Amino acid sequence: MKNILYCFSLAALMFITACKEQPIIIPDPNLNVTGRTVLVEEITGVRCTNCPTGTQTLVALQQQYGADRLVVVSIHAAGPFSVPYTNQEDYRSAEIQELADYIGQYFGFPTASIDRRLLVGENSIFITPHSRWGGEVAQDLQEDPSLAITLENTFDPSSRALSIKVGLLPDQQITGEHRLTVLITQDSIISQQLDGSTLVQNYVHRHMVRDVVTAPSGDNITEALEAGQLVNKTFNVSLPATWEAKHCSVVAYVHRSDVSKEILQAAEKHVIE
Amino acid sequence: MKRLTLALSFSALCFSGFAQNNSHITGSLQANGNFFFAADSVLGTAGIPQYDNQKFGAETWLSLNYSHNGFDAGLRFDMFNNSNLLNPSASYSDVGIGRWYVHKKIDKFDISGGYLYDQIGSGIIYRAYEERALMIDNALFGAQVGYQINDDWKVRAFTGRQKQQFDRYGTILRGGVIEGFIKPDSTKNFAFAPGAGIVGRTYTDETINSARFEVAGYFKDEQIDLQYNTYAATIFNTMTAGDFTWYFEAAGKTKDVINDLTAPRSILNGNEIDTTLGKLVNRTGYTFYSSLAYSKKGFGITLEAKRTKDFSFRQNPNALFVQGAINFLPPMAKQNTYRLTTRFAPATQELGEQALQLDVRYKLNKKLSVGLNFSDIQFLDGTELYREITPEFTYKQKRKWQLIGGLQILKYNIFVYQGKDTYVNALTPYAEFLYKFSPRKSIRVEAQYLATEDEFGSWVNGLVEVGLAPHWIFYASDMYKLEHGTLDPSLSAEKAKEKTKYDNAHFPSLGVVYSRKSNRVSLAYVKQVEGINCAGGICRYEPAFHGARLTVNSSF
Repeated sequence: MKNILYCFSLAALMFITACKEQPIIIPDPNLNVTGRTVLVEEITGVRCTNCPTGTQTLVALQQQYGADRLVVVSIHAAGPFSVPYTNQEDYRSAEIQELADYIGQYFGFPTASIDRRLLVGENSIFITPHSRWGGEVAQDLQEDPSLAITLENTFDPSSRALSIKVGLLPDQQITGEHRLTVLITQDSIISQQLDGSTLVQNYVHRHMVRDVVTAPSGDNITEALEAGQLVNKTFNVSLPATWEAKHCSVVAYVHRSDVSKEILQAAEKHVIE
Repeated sequence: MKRLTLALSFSALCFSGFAQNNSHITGSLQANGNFFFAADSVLGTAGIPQYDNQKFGAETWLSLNYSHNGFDAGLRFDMFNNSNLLNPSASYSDVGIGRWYVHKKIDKFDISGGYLYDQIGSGIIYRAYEERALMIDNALFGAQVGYQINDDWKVRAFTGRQKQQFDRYGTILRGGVIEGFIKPDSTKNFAFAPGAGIVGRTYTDETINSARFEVAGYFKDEQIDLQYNTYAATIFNTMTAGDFTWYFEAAGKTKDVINDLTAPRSILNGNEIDTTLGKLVNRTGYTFYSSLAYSKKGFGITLEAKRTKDFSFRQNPNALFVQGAINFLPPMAKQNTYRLTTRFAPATQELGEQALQLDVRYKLNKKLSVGLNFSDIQFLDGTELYREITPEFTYKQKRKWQLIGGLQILKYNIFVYQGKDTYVNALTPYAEFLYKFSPRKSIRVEAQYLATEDEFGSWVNGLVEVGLAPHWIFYASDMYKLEHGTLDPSLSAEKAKEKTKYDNAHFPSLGVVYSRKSNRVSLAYVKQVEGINCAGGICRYEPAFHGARLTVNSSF
C-alpha cells in the first residue's frame, strides 16, 4: 500500500510541476494591415434555423474589419433547407449549387469557408461552428496578398447591361494553376427566413449570390501571373429587372485549382457606386 | 502505400507463427452496403449525393488478431466508399489500415503500442473506443505501459494522439491510472474496487493560434486567457456489500478553452451593441456520477445520478457533436429498443446537466414481472430537458408465449436537442408478443402508438417477425404517420405545412436475416423518417433513409 501511494504521489507530482506555462498574448488583428481581402462563402437556406446566427456573426465581422477587407457571399444551396416557402422566390439555381459543390461538403449549420482554406485536422473546407470564423478571418488578414484585384463596373440602367472589368496585378510570380471566379450578389433582399423556430416574414437576406458570371468552379487563368504584369478580363451580363441594382455587387476572386482551392485574393464592388 | 506495405509486412511477420502451438488467430468482418433510392424532396433526401447521383455506399471493417504466449497483435482493414456514416448528409470515401496494435506481457509489465482502446473509470475523463454506427473511432495512437504492483493493484500510463479517420489529431494526450481491489474479509461479500486517474491534454499551436485570433475579435472586457494544457483527474470506487453495489466517480478538470454555443457574446451592429450566442470560454469543470444497485432474487433496483458542469473535453474547442471527444459521459436515459420509444432520444449535454434515473424490476411470480423506469434530465438552472416514465410488465406463459407491455410517458425538449419548436409531450403505449409454435418456429409481433400533438404528430408502428431457427428470420414493419386532427389555428400556413408533411405517409421495412454458425447476413428494404440516432448516449440528427441495406457480420 505504501508503494502504491508513493507511485501515485510521484506521478501526480510530475503532472503538477509540469502545469505552469508562459502566458499567451492576444494579438490586435487591426495592427497589421496587409492589403489582403478575405472571402467568406456561407452556405445558407431560407429554412435553415441556425443560419441567421451565422449571418449575424459575419455582418459583425465585416463591420469590425471593413467591407473592403472582408467580403461575404451567401450561397443558397443547403439542400432541403433552401427549398423556398410558398410564394417565395427560389434563390437556388443549378450553377449556385455547382458553386457550393465545388467548394466541398459541409457538416451542420451555420457553416462557411474562409478563403477556402482547409484547416489542419479538418476534413472539410467548410467550418462549423460560427464562433470559429472570426479567428480564421483575422489570421488570413495577416497574410500578405500575392496579387491585387481591381474591379470596374459599368452599368446601363435602361438596358440593365453590366460590363465588368477585372484586373489582376500580381505582386510576385505566381506559379501553378489558378482560376478566376466572378459572382453577382444582392444585398438586403426582404423575404421569409426561418430563424430558430420562428418564421420571420420580413427577414433581410444579406450578400446573396444571384449569378455566377464565370464557371462555378472558376475560369482558368491562362495568362502567366508575373510580378507587375496586369491581366485584364472583361465580362458582360444583363441584370434581371427584379434585382435591385443599387443592392447588387460584383465579387471577384482568384483561387488555386490544383489539390487546394485556396483563395489568394478577393475584391467586391457595387454595381452602382 | 508505404504505410500499407509496412502493415502487410507486419501482419505477415505476426501470422507466420500461426503454425506454432498456443497460437490463435481470431478475426471479424463487418460489411454494410447501402443502395440509395431516388431522391425525394418531401422525405428530405434530395441534395444528398448518395441519393442524387452515387446510389451506393459501403463500409467494411475486417479485423485479424493474433496471440501467442502473452504476445498479441492485430490489424484492421477499413474501407469507406461513398459512406454516409461520417456525415449523414454527405459522402465519405477512404480506405486503409484502420488499426494495428502489438501487446506483450513481460513478467509484471504490460506493454502495448499502436492504436489502443482503453478507458479510465467509466470514461468520464478518458475513453478511447469505437462506435461504428456513429463513426466514432478515437483509438489512441501511442504507447501504453502497465505494471502489476501486486495481486490487487495495477497501474498503467499512456501517451499518444487520438485517431481521426485515417489520420490523427495533433493534440497530445498523456495519462495514468491506478486500479485496485480490497476485500477486508475474504469470508464476506464486501469489497472495494477503487481507482484514480489523470489525463493531460496539450492543444496544438494551430488550435491556440486560431483561439488567439478568435478572442482578439471579442470586446476587451469579454476576452479570455488561453492556455495550452488542461488536466482532468478522477477518483472512482465500486463498493460491493451483500446485495448492494455502489459505484461512485468524481472528476474535475482544470481550466479548459471550450466552445460554449450558448454563451452570449457582444457584437457591433451599426452603432449599437448586439448580442449573439456562441464564443470561446475558459472554465474549470466537474462531473459527479453515482450508481447504487440492489439486487436479490426477483427484485432489482438501480438508482443513478449525475451532475456535469463544463465537462467538454475535446481535441480542440471547435470539435463538435460526435467529433474529437476524449472522454465519455454516461447517458442517463433508458436504453429503449422499440422504434417509436426511441424516436426522441436525449444527447448528453456536456456543458451542464443534472440527471437522475431509477430503474425497478420486480418478479411477482413465475409468470409475471413488472418494472418501472424513471429518468429526468435538466439543465443546471432547472430547465427541463427530458423526462421519461415507463411502467412495463412481462408475462411468460411457460415457454409457449410471452407478452411485454408498457407505456412511455415522455417530455422532450426538442428545441435543445434538435433545434425545433419547444417541447414534445408524448404518450407511447407499446406491446410485444412472442409465440413459439415449436422450439424452432416462432413469431414475434410488436406494436407502438406514439400519441402527440407536437413535432409531426402521432405515429403508429407495427412489426411482424417470423423466426425459423437456427438460420432464418423474416420481418416486415411499417411506421405510419396518422393524419393530424384539428391544427392550432394560430399556426402559420408554413408551420402547418411542415407539421403535416408526413401525414398518411408509410415508412415500411422488409427484411430477411440468415445466420449460420457465427456468420450473419441480412438484406432489408428500409424507408426511415428523419430523426435522432443514438449509441450509448451519443446522439446525432440524421436525415431520412430510403433504400436497401445489405449487412454481413462474421467472426472466426
